Amino acid sequence: MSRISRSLLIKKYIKPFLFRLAGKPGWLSPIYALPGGIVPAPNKQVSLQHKIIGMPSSQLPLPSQLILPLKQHQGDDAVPVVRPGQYVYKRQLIAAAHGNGSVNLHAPTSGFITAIDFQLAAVNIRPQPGRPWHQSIDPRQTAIVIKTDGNDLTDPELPLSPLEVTPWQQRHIDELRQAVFEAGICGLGGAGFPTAIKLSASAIKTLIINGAECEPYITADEALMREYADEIVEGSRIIQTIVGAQDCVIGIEEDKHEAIKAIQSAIAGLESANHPLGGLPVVKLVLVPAIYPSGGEKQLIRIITGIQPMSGQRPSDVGVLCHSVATARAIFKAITDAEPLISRVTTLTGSALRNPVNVEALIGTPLSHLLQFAGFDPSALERLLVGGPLMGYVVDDFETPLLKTSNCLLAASQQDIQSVKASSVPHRDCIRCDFCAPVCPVKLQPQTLYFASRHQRHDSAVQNGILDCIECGACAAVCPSQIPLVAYYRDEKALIHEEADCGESSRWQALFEKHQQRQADNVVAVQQRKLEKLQDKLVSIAEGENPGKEAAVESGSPVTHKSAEQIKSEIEAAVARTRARKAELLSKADINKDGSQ
Amino acid sequence: MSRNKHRISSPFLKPASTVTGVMATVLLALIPAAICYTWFFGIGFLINLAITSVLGLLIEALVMRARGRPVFFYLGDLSMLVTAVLLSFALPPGSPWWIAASGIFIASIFGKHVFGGLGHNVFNPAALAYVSLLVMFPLHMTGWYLPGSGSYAEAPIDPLSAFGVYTSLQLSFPFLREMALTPFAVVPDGFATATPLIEYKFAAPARILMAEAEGFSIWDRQARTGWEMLAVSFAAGGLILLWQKVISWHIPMTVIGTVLLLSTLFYQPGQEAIVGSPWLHLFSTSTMIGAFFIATDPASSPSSAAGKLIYGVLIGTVMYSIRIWGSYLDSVALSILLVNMCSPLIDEWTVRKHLGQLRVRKKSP
Ligand code: SF4
Ligand code: SF4
Repeated sequence: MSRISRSLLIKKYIKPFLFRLAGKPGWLSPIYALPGGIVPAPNKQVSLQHKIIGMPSSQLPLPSQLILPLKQHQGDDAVPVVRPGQYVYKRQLIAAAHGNGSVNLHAPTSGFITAIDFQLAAVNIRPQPGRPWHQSIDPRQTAIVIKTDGNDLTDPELPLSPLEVTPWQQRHIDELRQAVFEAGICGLGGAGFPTAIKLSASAIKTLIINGAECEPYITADEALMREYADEIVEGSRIIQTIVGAQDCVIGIEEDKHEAIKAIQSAIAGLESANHPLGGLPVVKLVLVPAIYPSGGEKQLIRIITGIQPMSGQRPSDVGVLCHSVATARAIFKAITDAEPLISRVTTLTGSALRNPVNVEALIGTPLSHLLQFAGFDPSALERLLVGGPLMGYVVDDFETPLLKTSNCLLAASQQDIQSVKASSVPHRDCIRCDFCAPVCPVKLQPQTLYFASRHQRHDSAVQNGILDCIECGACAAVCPSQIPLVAYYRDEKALIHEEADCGESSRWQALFEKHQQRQADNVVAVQQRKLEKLQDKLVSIAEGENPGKEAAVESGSPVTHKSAEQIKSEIEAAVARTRARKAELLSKADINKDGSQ
Repeated sequence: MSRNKHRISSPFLKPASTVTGVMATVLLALIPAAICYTWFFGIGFLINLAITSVLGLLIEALVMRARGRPVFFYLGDLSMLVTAVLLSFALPPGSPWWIAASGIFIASIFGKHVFGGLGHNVFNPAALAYVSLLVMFPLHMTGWYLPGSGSYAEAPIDPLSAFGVYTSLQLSFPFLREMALTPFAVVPDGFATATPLIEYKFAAPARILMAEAEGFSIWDRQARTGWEMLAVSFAAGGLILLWQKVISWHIPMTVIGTVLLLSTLFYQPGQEAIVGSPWLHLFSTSTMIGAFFIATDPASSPSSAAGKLIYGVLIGTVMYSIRIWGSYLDSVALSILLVNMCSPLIDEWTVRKHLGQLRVRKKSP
């Protein structure tokens, strides 16, 4: 029971307090303790042995094709603006934002478009009962496939963007915001919320740059902070300028020592370099206790500012904005180099990889390419996860592309994660041990939610705050009965949303219509069967056989006087009648169907 | 059952604890007390333990079979063994075998499975079984063969001597005596009906006071030493549980605190025979096992921290009241059962507000 520490008193209260008294840098402002949380084994060092490896480079060549789903963010799909067979240059726009919360998509390298397909197996996960949770990938994805030509060419005629000519400090805010929008940036931390929308929030007081990467194994942000601290800090300044925040705080977990040093010197460099600051105060560094899940958006906001957005509120509603360090760097690149989001830093780790490392890979790279590069050992693999072991999701198809939101690729062996082969064993019942409630960062009562979800008591679930559950999995990680609590919550949330979408009455309406439809189908089927019988008869008559038993039995009745011709025509009339009836029923059924939609 | 299966969903971390692990920790924490109990009161405890464990597992297996659940999967959670051990601690070591057998039957069927199994039980199974036995067989349940000599009725139940072992065996299995299977027959009459509290309360204040004046050493195998050592070993086991975070401090600390507070408050020097000293109240064995092992049963106690505090205080108060003003022979199990019934209500009262919850709770229409 010691793998996950649940006693966090010292980490949460005593250490920050003492360090603040002692005046250690980074601890100077008061931080607010997060309720709950766990400290799982971090396992981060393995992937931090080397520097970030870029792509394409001598070590990490381009993959032969890139698969770019049109929806890698929250919001509407982007719309393709290229056609199959077309040659695209690196950084060329290939799908344009369209509709609500949509995000541009650019070609990560040069090559030919080979397909724009909605049936790619790699991005269309077969629905499997029992594993419904492939968070970021919706079923029936459309994706653009680029066959790379290996030249990695940028369009030579592409005019220099004005931002490359004039430094960003002298541009108008709207122009900057537009540049972020054009670059197709969405939150790189995991949720994929369009960044441009976040940046248009008004009345922001505090900007928080999230460097608290709390999940085990993931080191993408940490590696980024070590190596690109300057860009991150400057990116933070850009965001701060755009939203007009008074404070800009970079929050980092205290155990990332090198990253902290790098960021500290970057901040110092920024101050001494005497940038035209526009009167804004400097960026501040705040250290937070290394507790999972302090890197969650609302969690970090609470730790640093003490503000708790009410349920259903966005942080921007309370004057706080939170971006991850990766997003800050993407914004920096978009503004200073006019480089759209075509690559991201992602962690390749897990015991099934011989060389765990951080890579800066192109968006759309098939995971198999990255795995191969990192020395993948398929025999050791238990599961391939995208994301960390606490919030990641399972990927079965190794051709699945890297998305804008994929921060980690965990090729987990049995050492890393629980063996999930026993998928048919029922979990134990809740013993109400109450291990789960003290670790919940939202102060929920996980076991109450579990009972509500399990029995689909929606009212009780909502009242007990299931919609505020961040699905961090802390509760499930400590549950001795190993109840897949998060899975229950997700099911329940889906049901609640479904119900809210259609409402109770329309659910009954839908059921009723389904019932009617079934009945209509039945009648049609009966007519169909009659039709077939009659046609059989017709055929047999045409072949000159005896019209049938009935006729023989009823010999002497007027029927016998009928000639075969007569019978045939009668049957034909019957066939016609039945056909007409069937058509009528079918059209009725169609009307029903339309009505129900 | 389809919703009841493991699904492939985050988190994927290795489990930090298992039910089996939790229960095994509880069992380990009971080992010191088991040794102590056997040392002072003979192998009667071990006999009871064997009966309750074997029978308990058997009943559990049958019930699981009847309910169509995987038998070994559910036996593997060891919860039945914990119940068996706790019940064995509550039984007098010299009680006949059918007491233990009916006790574990009650614990398993009426304490646990009628409610739906582990986690759904309203009462602590061991406490329920003990109280039922107490009501059904009051004589057997209060008769103890006490170790040592002196003012107590003598019964040679030393676990280290063959004679003591035979005595214990004969006490547990009375038919052995009739069949004369043991080399020496033991005269089984003249046993003391005495748990220390009852003794203090009704019988022999003067004797006790005398014994107290003589002082005692922990190696003396006297009844009083036995009880106190047992209480200490329960407390030690409880500390193991606290350290392993199997239980939280809320319930044991409030129970013990309340009992200590009340007994200090009502303590009158010179009146030990009537109200008992705080020391007696705390170290009368059953307070410790109750506070650390029985009251903390997760299923039948409230789940929130505030709820646990209320629950502990209630148990302590009821326990003390029954002891001093009630006329029942036992107070711990009764008070725990009583307060168990309140825990759903306490849970209802102490629902904690989650972060971001609006101040005014929306009532569902
Ligand atoms: S940790 Fe698991 S078994 Fe314990 S109370 Fe929570 S849900 Fe129930
Ligand atoms: S998954 Fe939800 S209920 Fe569980 S600890 Fe996280 S926020 Fe709390």
